[in-house]
Amino acid sequence: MTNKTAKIWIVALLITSTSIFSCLAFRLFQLHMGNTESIKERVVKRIVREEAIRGRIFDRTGKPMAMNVSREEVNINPLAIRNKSTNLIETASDIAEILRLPIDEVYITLKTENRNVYYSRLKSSCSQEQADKITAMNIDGAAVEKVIKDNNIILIPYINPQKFIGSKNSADIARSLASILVLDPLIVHKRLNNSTSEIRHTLLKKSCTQEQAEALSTYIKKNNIPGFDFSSREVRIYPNNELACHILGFLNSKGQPYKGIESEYNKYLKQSDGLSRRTYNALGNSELRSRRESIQVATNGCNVYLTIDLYIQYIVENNLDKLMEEIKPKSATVIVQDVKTGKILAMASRPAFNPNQNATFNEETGVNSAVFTQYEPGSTFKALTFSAALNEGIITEDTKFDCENGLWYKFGKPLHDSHPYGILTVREGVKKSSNILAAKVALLLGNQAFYNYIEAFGLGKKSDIDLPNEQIGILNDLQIWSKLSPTRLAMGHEISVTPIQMIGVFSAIANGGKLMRPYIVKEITTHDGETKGIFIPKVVSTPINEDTSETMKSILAEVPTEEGTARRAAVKGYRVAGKTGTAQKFINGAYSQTKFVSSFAGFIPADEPVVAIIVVVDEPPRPRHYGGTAAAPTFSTIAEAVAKYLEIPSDAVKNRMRDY
Amino acid sequence: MTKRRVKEQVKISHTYCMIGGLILVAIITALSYIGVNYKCDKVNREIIILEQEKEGYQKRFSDEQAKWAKLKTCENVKRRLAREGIHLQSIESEQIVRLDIKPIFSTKYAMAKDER
Repeated sequence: MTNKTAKIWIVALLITSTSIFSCLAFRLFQLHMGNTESIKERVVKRIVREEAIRGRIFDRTGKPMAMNVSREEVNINPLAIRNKSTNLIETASDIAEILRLPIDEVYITLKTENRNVYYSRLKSSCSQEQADKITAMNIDGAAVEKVIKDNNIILIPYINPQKFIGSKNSADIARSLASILVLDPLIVHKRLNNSTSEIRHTLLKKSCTQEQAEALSTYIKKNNIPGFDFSSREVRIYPNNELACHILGFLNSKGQPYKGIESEYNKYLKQSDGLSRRTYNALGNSELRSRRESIQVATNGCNVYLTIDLYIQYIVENNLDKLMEEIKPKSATVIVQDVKTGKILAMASRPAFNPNQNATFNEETGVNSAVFTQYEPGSTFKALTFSAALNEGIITEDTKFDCENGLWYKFGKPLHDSHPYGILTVREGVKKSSNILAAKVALLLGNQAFYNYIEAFGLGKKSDIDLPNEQIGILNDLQIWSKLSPTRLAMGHEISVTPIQMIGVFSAIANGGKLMRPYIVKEITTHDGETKGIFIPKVVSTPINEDTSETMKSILAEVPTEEGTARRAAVKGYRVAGKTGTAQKFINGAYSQTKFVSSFAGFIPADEPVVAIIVVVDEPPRPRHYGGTAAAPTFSTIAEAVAKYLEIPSDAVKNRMRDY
Repeated sequence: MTKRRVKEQVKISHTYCMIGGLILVAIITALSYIGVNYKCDKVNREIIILEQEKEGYQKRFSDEQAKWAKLKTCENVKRRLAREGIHLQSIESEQIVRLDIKPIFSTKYAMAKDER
């Protein structure tokens, strides 16, 4: 090669490479600084939903009672799997093992032949405006499916060709759909008349764990099996199943809160999903992360800490189940309350339901009797009657009354005692549960004072507990009281209360006369654990003074003794106080002779009360229809277990410590 | 003549140098752009993968928490202990002792000390 030729080559090479790199540089300049609108149009932008998590519910010790988990839904295209798989039984067996499904069920799903629903996509996705137009057309067989894939909301217009094959107006429909979706009308028409469209994906498992989904995904990749589609969703679970179901409530199949804390505290628990605008390349397969714009920030729900203690709740529900099995009443309710603060430590009703299985829920099992069921309290109400009279100073614990040998006619109507008694002191009257003595005390007290005390003890109005559907009970206006009313009210008739109201009365007596507002939520925190609000005890009223409270405690402590009506309520090692109640149910304008509501309300220990407990049994069959036989034994077992769990020293130990 | 030829040659070599320099700058700019673009793309992909991984771990974590919560329910603990032949008994009421908080030097103790 001569020097000249070499020079020519060098110049040519320089010119070529200069032009190439100049072009490149020009293109780069054009891409960045030039008219970018046409390029921007080609970029795929999607509005993506960013899922937030609903708040959790914990007990007072921080054990979870309701939480969210992520579950995968697995859909398959049986045809695609069949085409690829050489041994369908083996594939079905492997999948069944991974997903823990019966092999035959998986095998049948894989063998699914043509289903009635055919599915043919018109376009991989469309805009909301296009989707609205298609929906507005209201064509049978054409619709838009909303698919959430990798957190993206994708709108897929599809048709069911079975609806259009041989149809006269399919050409018109094809034209309309094509104009909306900016497609070739001929292609749309062809799809409308395509009888061999793909079978819509079949559901294999609605809810499988992350582990199972990952194992299945690995298996699919390893064996190169097509036709699987995963979509994840958040599921609410209640780890303790039936335990505290009435307190918690549940989320229904649409994810809406129903009953309990889920409903009452939904405004705190609910999450707010976020929205972000994401930019993808023209192929739509790679997101440009730096271009992500947040339209709405995802906010997780707050956590709610209850005053409920899961172990006490377990004790209560265990004993309730035993009671239901042994006595077979219609329903039963137990509440355990901290007398000093009004905190609800346990609350349970039977029948119950499993919040994890919405199907077990019905209006009967879903009733939280503790706040909803109204009943005549019967003799448990005498505790209020005597407290009021003692507080007014009308009587003392030693005041004597004639109990008329079990039958007393007042205002022309008879009043009975279960046993004939002669002269009894107030203390003895409570122990024996004399109706006549209570009626005489109420008459001495006077209607206005009696009514005021009933109101001051929180009856006839909501207790204001933070649970939904609370009933107020029935307390007749003073103006419509008859002459007989105080005599009947004194023994818990002519009034309806809820168990939560009744336990309030006993807690107030136990708490030096202070009626506390019952509450079930202790604290609300953010999802990350920062305290948002703490609920503190609140005194609602002080119906009686401390001296009356002390007197009542000592009087009520004599009820669960050998001479009292509730010897079965006694607890080994502790002095307990309480009162039985057996009320005939008021059905069709008359008191039933066969249907009763039996109850026992009390507190432990009698001298320095820590917890109050109420057991209400609805329609216990004879012969265990009395409060002393139906409710008192359950009270005793619950009270003993709770006292030991809360490490309440026994009376013997306390006395020994005092001496020491 | 020779001087003029030398001058022309210097001029030509200057022109070549300029062109060469320009080409070099263009090449470096283009290659840098491609390199930076590739790196950004890689980081972009990595971020997306890490985000997906994080989401996966979060899901796994909540899954494990749920499993643990189910394992620890009173009913389950009782059943599992029974399976192992362990029967738990609650304490006797007499075993519960609570000591009141009292001043370390009680009056009685102080008096005894004074007497000494």
